[in-house]
Amino acid sequence: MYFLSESIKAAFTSLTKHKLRAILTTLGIIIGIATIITIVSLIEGLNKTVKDQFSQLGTSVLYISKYPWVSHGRWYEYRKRKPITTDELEAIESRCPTAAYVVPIADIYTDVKYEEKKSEAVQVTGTNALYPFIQGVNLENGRFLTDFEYKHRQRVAILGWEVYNILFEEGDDPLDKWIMIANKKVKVIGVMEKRGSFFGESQDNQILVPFTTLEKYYGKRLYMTIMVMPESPDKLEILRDELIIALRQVRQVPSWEENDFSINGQEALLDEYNKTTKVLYAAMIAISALALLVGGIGIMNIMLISVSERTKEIGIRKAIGARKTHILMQFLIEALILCWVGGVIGAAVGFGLAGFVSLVTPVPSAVSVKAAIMGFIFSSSVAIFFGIFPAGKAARLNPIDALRYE
Amino acid sequence: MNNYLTIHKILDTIKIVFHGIRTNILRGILTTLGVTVGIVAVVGMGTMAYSFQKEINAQFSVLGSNTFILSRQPMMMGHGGSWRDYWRRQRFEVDYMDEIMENCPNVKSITPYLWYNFKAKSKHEEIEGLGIQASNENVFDFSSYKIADGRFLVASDIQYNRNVCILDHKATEILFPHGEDPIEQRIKINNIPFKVIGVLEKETSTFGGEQNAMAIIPYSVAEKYWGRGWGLRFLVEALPDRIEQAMDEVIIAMRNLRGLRLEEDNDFEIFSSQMIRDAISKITTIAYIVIIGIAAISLLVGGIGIMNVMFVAVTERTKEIGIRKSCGARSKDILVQFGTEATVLSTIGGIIGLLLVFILTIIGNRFLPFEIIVPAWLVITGILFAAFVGIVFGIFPAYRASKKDPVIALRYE
Repeated sequence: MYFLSESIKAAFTSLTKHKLRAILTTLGIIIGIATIITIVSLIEGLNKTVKDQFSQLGTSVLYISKYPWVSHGRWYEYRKRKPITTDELEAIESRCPTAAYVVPIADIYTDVKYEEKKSEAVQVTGTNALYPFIQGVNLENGRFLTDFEYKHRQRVAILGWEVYNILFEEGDDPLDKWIMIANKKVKVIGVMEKRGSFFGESQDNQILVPFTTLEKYYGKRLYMTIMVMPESPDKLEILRDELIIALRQVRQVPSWEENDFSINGQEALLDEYNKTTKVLYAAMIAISALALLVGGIGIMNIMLISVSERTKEIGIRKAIGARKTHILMQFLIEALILCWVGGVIGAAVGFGLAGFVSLVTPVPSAVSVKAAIMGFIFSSSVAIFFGIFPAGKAARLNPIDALRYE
Repeated sequence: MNNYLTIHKILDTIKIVFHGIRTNILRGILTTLGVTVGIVAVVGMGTMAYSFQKEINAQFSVLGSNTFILSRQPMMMGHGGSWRDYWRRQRFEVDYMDEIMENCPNVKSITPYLWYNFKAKSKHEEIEGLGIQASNENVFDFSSYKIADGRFLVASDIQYNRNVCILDHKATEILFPHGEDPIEQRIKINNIPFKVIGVLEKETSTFGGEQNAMAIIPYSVAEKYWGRGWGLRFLVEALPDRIEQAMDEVIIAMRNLRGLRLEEDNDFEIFSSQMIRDAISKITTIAYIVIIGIAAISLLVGGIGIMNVMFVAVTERTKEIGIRKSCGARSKDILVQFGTEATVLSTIGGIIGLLLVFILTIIGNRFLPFEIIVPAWLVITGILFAAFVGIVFGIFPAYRASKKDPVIALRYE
């Protein structure tokens, strides 16, 4: 233990003796680590944002539709499939005990009017009373759809925040007012709270109506998706199996045929995102790691110089009993200190830089423990990798030659 | 006499510089290596960016400089408009062609362009998703399609709704796997019989590698069986050098056709291949600058390495500096000596880096689907950049060397 503290002391002495040299050497490492940390933070930030957006879809919600979400441009293979209808909805409701919430959704885009005011291209979504349990919407005003309204095709609507603000004056009571959706009179029963956007598309330019009402007017033209959520997230896989069985039965898929429907989830989208961006991200990290490589080479160069400068010192230390490992450790620790100091400063600079970039540009950043650990491991391995050769050279010096060195 | 002295001085400096580098080979190599890696990163990335950009330009100039696209939807989303607005636009009619031809004197020809995707069958085989391009005889003027066998579409094919098709190489391979002559054979597209009248040459595609199987049919036939599509586009060719005028004429004609009022925006899009290229390079340029910028950081670190080693060299050679100064060398000579040493080191690093880039290019060209070319200006910039790094990072240590007091320097041990 004693020789370790001695080595550390020796390393510090030699570093403080050549301050400028130590600073410049560390600077290389600082820049290298800072670059990597900045890039990793920005990438992590981007990934996190995308992941958060996807999780808006619900981490334990399955989406049943005719087309899969990820089709790699081969959508035509699925064109022949029968559309999803309310038959499937009823089948799921009656035959899947794990399905706690079963919600149909289908959209149309149309104009909405109230008196003189008009909102164009509003997303009108047909759904049922359970919609808020899966989508987590809260009402600012009024109430949600009821089963009765769903069953009896009532003309009622819940306005999105943006639609409400366009159609009504601030402070106007929208409840029980009749608005025109595609020239049909519909009664407003509620207003949703602001929901924000999903990948740049506003979710507040939306109106919810009973699915059956929408079906009455748009019938077969609707593209229906059924959202299904289990009671608890850990039953997701059981639910998936139940759904497959129920859907195959109701759609009369023969046993030798493949499923003629798709069960989608957010993780498939996430996988797809990861797959497409992985190569790019890896390339960026690799390019930024080059700076660290160059910094490491700088360390090796300076360590070699310092070994040859201190040949005499090594000779003396060996002559009075220092072992090979002692010399080796002394120089390795010197390299490690350089790299660690550089690593800590570099990490701080990197996080600062990433934060700055996300302030002035729309690119988000995340301070990740992963990046910090990576930086530590990186700088340590740089120190060991580039320090071992000079340290080994010092350790192998013959004390007799070294003492004579001028 | 004066000239001779100058030349002598330069030669002298170079000799001293190389002596300085030679005495410590390993150190020289390691110092150079930093710059080498930096130059490989910067020039390598620059080369990739340049080659990729060139490829994109080539891909999008198929259209030719006199042609533009008229479409219901923009080529790329996200320029202010939302897809909901585009979705609501009326669809295009094939009749627009006649109107445009009549009202736009600067338009030479116009070609409808519509994609479908259907199942296709020959006697032996079938394709699940055959891309169908419905067009007219002009399509061959605009595209890079070359006929390998048979014939192109002609005007009468469109006029008389002939069920004929031209297959691309891939579709031919799948539908006629036994090498028989596909010309005059019958195939079924979405259960409708078509006669094969031509086969296209194999295209050397770069992006996406594998090209989809595709067939070209007369648009009148497609319209007859499958109705008006949402994705109908027109390729419009202007008279030579009249593209600007032709575009304006087409915009006016289209606004009339679509019955737009004065205050309404265009509910169609018009773009030339130049506009597509500009839009793409706007995105890619930012990406290139970021990537090359990141690569340049390693060059910066290499420069710092040079500075560090030069400081060491100056300290080590304090006595030498003292001797040189006392024998009559000026401060300027010392400055030049160390400055040159740093510059030579980094330039050598740069040259080695460039050689590595060339080697990587040769290897890369074997594996990448597009050709990589190292542009000459990038080579020159690379060398200049390396030299510049040497000067910038060498000047400070050299200055310090030149300011040494010869009396103290001579005494240095």
